[in-house]
Amino acid sequence: MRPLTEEETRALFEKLARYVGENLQLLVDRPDGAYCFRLHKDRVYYLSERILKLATNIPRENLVALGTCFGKFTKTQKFRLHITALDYLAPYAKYKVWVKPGAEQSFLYGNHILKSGLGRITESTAQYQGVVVYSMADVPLGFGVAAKSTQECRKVDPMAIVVFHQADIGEYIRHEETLT
Amino acid sequence: MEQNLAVKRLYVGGLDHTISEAELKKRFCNFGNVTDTEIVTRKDEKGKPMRTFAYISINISEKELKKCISVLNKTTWKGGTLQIELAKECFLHRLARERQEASVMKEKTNCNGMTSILESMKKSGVVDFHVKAVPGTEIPDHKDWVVGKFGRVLPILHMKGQRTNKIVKYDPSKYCHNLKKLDSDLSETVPVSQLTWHLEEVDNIRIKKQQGQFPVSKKPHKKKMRVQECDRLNRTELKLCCQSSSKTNVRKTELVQDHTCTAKQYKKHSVDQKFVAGSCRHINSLSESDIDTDEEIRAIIANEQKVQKVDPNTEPEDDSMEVVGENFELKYSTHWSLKKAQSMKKVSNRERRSIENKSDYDSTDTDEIIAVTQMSNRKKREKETLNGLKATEEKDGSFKKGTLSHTAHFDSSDLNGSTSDKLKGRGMATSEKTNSQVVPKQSSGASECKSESDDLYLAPSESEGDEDYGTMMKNCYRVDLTLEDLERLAGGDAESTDDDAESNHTDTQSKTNEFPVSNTKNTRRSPTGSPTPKKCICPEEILSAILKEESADEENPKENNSCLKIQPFRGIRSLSVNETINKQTKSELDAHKTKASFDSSYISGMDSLTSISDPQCLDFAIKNPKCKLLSLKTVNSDSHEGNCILKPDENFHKEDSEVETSNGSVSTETTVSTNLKSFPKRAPREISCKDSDLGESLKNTLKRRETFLGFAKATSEKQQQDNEKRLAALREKQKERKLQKSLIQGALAHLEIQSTNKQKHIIFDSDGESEAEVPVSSKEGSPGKLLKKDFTTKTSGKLFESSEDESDIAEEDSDRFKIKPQFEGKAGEKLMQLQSRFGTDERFRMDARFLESDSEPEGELKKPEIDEEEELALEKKKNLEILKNLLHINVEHPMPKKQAASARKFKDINTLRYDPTRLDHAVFERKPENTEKESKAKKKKKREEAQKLPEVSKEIFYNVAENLKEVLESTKCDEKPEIIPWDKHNDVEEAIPADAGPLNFKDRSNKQEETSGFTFSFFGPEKETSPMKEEPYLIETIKPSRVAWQEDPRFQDSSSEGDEPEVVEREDVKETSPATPHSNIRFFFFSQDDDRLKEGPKLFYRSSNLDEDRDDWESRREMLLEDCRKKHKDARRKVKAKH
Repeated sequence: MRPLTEEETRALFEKLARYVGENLQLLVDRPDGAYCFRLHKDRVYYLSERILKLATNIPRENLVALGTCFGKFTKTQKFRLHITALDYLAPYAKYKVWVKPGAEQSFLYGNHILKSGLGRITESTAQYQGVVVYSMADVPLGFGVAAKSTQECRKVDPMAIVVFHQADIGEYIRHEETLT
Repeated sequence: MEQNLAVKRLYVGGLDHTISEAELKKRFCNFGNVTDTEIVTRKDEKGKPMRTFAYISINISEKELKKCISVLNKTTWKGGTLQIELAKECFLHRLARERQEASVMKEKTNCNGMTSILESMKKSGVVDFHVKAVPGTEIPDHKDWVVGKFGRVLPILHMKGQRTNKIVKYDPSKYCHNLKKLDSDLSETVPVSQLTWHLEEVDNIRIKKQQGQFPVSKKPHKKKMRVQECDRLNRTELKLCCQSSSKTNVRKTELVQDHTCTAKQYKKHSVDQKFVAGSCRHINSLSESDIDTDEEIRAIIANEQKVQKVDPNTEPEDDSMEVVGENFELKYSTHWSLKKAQSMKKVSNRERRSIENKSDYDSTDTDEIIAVTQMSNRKKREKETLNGLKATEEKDGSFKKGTLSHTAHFDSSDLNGSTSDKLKGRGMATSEKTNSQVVPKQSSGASECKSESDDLYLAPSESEGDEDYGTMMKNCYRVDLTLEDLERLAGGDAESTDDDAESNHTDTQSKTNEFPVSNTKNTRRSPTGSPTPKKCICPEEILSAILKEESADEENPKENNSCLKIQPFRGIRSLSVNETINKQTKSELDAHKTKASFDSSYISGMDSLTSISDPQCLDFAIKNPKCKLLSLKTVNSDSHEGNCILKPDENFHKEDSEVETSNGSVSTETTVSTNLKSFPKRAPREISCKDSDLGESLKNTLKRRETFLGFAKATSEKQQQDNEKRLAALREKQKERKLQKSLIQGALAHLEIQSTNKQKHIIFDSDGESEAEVPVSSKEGSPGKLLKKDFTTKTSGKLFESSEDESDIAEEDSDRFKIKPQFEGKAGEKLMQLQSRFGTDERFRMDARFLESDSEPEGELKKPEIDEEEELALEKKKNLEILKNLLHINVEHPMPKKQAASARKFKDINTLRYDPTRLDHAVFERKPENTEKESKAKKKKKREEAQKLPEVSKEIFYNVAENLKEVLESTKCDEKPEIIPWDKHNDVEEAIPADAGPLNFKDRSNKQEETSGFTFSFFGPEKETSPMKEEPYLIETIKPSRVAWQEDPRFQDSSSEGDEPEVVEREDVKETSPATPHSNIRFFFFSQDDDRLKEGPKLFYRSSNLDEDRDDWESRREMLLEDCRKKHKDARRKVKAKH
């Protein structure tokens, strides 16, 4: 377990900022306590100071996970966001996408969202903008990347992909082993 | 042989295309007189004539014709072999002929058609055959055809049985025309909405879709239910529109159907009927087309025989079958159930909005009622009542009575029996009366009754196909009948009314069967009349109860809004309906005294009831009768209540007003217009009404109203609560903010400590400084020198943070700011605190001796923690910086801390609400005096600085002012300024007319502004006295040059202030008349000595004598006219010159 290096922090923040924008500072600098990011086995964990203290007492080999895993760094030092970060990022999401009930299932199975399944989308969503996917009942379902901007979404045909799938809560079941 | 010349048409084929008409004529003229020839050439694709032939109309005898044919046929002529034949009639001719025939046929009576059939029938030996009416008779000429219903001819089908391989002979007439008498017991009837169109064998979706339209399978017996209903309808329609010809009958039935039945069923039915004749595939239609019984058929025949051309509605009522009344709908309502009756009613209601038609109220807001009044409980309740009604329903009045009694039985369990006792004395008639009375009683406002009646009336309005609706309709129908009975029983009504009145006033629950209505009435009244659970037995109690309710009503002013908001449109609509109905009822009153009054009350009540789609309406309805009740009560004490009832409408409003006056709380109920208000008020009343078993549905409505009422009540309470909540929330927010602040401060303090600790390494005595900082930070505003020094050291520490070099220098310079060694560390901190207690008194300086020895380890322990925290904080900082960098790249945003701090601050400001009670917030208040003064001074300065001209002119003004003052003083009124401008305007016109005009207007406007009284205070002093005001006008006119100048200041200064010159003048006037201590402040509200009060009236009367003015004006007028003409001429010349 170690704190992140600057490049790592940069990469992490870059990724997170895609989804939450400047609200990220609220994550970094929280008024109700000091939270920090720690890297452990290529995974980035977000944890409070208290947990951090406790975690320092566990040897590295035995430590499985600490706090909440936000994602991991791939071999090429790219940060990949995990679904476990949803709870922390969803409230601060800037660009949201609502999915119709019919397409909800498809998304939860790891498919991309088609135009036909798109229920709502925040205005002025840029292309390749990170979005948080919600169901029509405002239940956060996962993360995605907008394949089309909002304006484009209107014009495109119903079978075109509008949101690339990044992470969904179905992964809790599908990727049980890999999630920490 | 005689030549019977006849015009014949011959076809001549094989002609050569070159043949002309003349030649044709020539050829045929030998045989006869050729009247017309038509040559038709058929050409192929390329235009080559392939065939040519001709039609020849020839006046020819038969003999000649034969000859012609024999001669010319097969002869060659010009290369072609002729072919002569008798041709079919010319198409056009044929068309015309056919049309003629058709028209002739149409003109012919059915009998003609019938006669032929009859003749044929007679041939076959059938006697007394009515083709139309007697289905099942075979048609002699055609095999396998039988006469079906309505005279249609149906084919006998030979079908293969589904399960058996045998071919079954199906005679449609047997199945279709089996009309069946409807049992009075309609409890088995399934409401249309619940009918299943599903055939058991048919699971095919396609077929299901086709069901009702063109069903494939034929299972008439399975569709008995529907068929029955359809039969009923058909039957009724049949009866209604009996006509001799089958066609017309069918058409009429269809028409009737279309007219009456808006439902698809009926349309389908009609369609089916159409198809019955057409194709036998539609068994459903066949089955729908009824199971006419022989009896029915005979009845139809008898009817037909009676009347050749019968109006559909003049069918004799078949009492045994149904209660056929003049009211079309009644029949339907009794019979069948639901949807159609409803639609019928609706249609009829909408079509005839007569008071007689009691169901009018249904129609008005049926849709709304349906949408709104869908309370399951009530429905159930209604169902119960209706079922009871149904069970006992008969087509006689007695039956109705029975039903009523039944329902009353059912419903009025809680009702007192006092009224029943009274009513017991009556006979059947009274029961009917009671029924009718029930209605008015309902209207009178027994909430339960009302709910019932509402339910009853609402039933039609409920969604079609609803079982409850049917029952409701039945009830409605029942009620209508009772009303009619009432009308019939005019004589007894008086008594009944009296009794009813009594019963109305007495919340008696009659459990007698005879007086269910009264019971219902009572029950209704009881809930309405007695908000308290106590049963109001006597009128006084009711009145008191009502008063209580009304008092409750008053508490809920908002309920109006709430209720209104809930269904505003409907309520109003219903009200409008009620109004109309009430008016109508009023008219009826005039017509019939007692009955009319009663009826009108009934009607109004009913109408109100029916039109009430929401509780508001119900309230209103309840209220109306209540008003009557109350009014009655107020007017007549006891015995003559009936008399009062006699003139309900007349007294209605009066009494209502009386009631209002008498019962302050019941104020709302005078007129229909006021009902709107009363509605919400009524609501509580109703809500407060106790619920009886009878009025479960009513209870539901009441509950609804209760909710509304409670809601209304709650709103006021809520407001208070909300306010409290708001305040509480505010406090909490403040607390949270404080918490956050403290946290942040703590964190910052830590940071600072850490930073200072860090700088311990960098800066000398940083430890002491840092420790000093702690006490300094903890203590705010400590006066001690040392503390100050520490603070300065802290600040210096901060400075050090920023720049190390400077810190060194600074430190060198400020040795005195070094922290004493005894204050180092935790112990030192404590010492410092201790020191501070003594302030700066030199006698109490703390030495190292006062240090505690235990402080050091604590400090040491804290250090690692601090380090960790520091690290975290550092990390945070780092992250934030990175983030900043990132986001700067992406989005620019300030430091998070700053942002947060600023945000917090910002939030604070936003959330900061002006609290007048707080002294702090006085800062936010705008103090008029200061502003006044400021503005005054500013204005003055502005004016002075901006233009010096005014000063110059001031002098002039000054002079003029004096003169003017004198002038003004001579003239008392201040009207002069108004008038003078005109004068001056005229004078000035010669010089500068254009300018003066606007200026004058401006002046006037300004004056108006001045006199408006709403100018702000800081303009007050500038608009002091009226004389000062007048001056400007005077001045302006006198000095046109100033006029031009005047405009500038106007533009420069704020317009509201008034003219520069005016102000200036005022100033001058002020100078001249310093003793003008008018209050500069102009408040919104008038005070006794307000200038505006003095100035204003002055504007309204002339300052000078009218005659004088007129004379002056006359003199000036001439001059003006001359000027005008001059200018006009000049302008014209110019124009001419241009052109």
